[in-house]
Amino acid sequence: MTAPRQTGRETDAAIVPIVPMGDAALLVVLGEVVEPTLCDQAHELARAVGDQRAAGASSWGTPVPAYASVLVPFDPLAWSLDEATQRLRALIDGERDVEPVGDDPEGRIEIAVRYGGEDGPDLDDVARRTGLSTAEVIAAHGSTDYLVYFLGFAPGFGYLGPLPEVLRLPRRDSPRVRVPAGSVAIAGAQTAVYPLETPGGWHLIGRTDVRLWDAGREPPALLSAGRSVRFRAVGAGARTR
Amino acid sequence: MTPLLEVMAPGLLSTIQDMGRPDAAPLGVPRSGASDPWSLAIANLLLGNERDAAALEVTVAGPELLVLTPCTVAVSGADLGATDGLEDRALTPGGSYRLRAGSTLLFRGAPAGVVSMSARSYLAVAGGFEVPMVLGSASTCLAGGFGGLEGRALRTGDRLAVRGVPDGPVAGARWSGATPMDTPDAPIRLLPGPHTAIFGSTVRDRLVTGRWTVGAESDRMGLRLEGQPIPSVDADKGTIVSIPVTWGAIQLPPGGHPIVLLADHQTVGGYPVVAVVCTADLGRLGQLAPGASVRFAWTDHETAVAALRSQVRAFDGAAMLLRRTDSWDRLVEAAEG
Repeated sequence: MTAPRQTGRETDAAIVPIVPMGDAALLVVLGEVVEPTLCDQAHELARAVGDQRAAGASSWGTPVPAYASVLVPFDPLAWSLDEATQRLRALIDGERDVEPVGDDPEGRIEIAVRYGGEDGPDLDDVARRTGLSTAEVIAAHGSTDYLVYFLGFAPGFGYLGPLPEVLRLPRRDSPRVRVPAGSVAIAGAQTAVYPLETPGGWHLIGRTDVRLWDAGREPPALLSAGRSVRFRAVGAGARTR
Repeated sequence: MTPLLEVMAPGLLSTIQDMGRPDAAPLGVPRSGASDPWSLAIANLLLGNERDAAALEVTVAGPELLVLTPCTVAVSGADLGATDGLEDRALTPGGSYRLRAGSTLLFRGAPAGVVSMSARSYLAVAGGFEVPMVLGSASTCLAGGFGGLEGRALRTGDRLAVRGVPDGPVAGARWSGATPMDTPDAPIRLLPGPHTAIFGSTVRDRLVTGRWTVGAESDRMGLRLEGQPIPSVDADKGTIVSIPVTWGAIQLPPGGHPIVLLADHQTVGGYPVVAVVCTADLGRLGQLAPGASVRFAWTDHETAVAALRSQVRAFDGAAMLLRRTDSWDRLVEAAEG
């Protein structure tokens, strides 16, 4: 379980900016930093909009939360910009009990990782740049539970954090055109597993056989916002493929 | 399930698309769907299908398809030289046509000597193509490798099946309404984005005064615009905490070449969003071919929504007309038959 933390709203709802993203969506900007409390608020607001949408009497589309913001689509032929903004403002003002998405009632998800070598081609580089041994990098990466902030970038891709301070590095100067599916990566205060082969600019330190995305599975994404994730090192001999 | 068409040559990028899966965005899933949803709807309406039935989106240079079963098809969108090979008959966009078994349906590309500014044609079949629904949509998700036909573009040897009766509707319907291809030179209209204000007037002016060309690396995820780069302001404005982004959002990376997001865009982005294309112009946006020049003009919310409203009204009007004509044809056919 993640450590308990302050979950109330520290910002005054009246000043939370709501800005248009085109003529058919509003963006609620809760903050400009990666911070679990802001992410909690983003998910809470997305849930509130989703509940209203499910109740049927609204012209909202499916809301999309990220680190510290929520995109809320609406039907511009049904609602004026003012009307949509006011309705959203009312939802933000009405939102009182922010459930900490970090308290994972389903228990944490464990992901077995083969670190280094072909599976983690950047591990040595990360060790050199952080001044740690590769064993220390592996230990640090597996030393803590990570919060799934939200899913984005690619199907089933979860943004996890916060990464221990000692491992924080900027992204690679040149992104890779192809990152293999299952690659475990770090960048800044974040870590993630690439669910599918995609381009990517993060440092690849290992790889897992756990399937993060399977379109034929229900649900298709292994991760969901609010779950906690722990990485565990396994030797190359533990390959299960 | 009737096998209907066999792929003899796949074309540049031919994918099954419907109206996409916008509700899957919280899973990190791109919305996918037709790049030009208006043209998809036209092709379906010509056959009496639901507007969002799955059709084939053909890109620039088209496929060659062998007709296995007699069927009625409709073609819409860009004129990519669709031809009934058996009869050497042009299948002009905006019409429905009957095809005999053994014929080939080919997209020859834009007519010789014509540089097409429009990139995408739609081929619908009566009943719609039969592919599994994934997360509520038949659309191909190229990034995720699911949806459509095995999550990928067509390949030689693929067989496309159809739902229901492929030769039910009579052929000969014509679309009389407007299409996204009607006004290729009109500017694409922009609304301010979440970060427009912090960039100041330089960015606002340069977007609309610049002469932009659609770059060759453009794809279904986004149009990469080439032209005089917009000078980057403070470097620290160049990246932001990732925010959710929309279809039509214009991102400004540090290099100063804008990227306009299309239907396959990633759900979140870390570049500032300096403008967003209005909904009424998304179909025209999705038609822009590599090499096409594009101009932008600022508009406001009320004007953008008014444009959308009149577009929807005119479209619905043309669809009604189509239904009336269709039933008239059926009566005539019944009387003669």
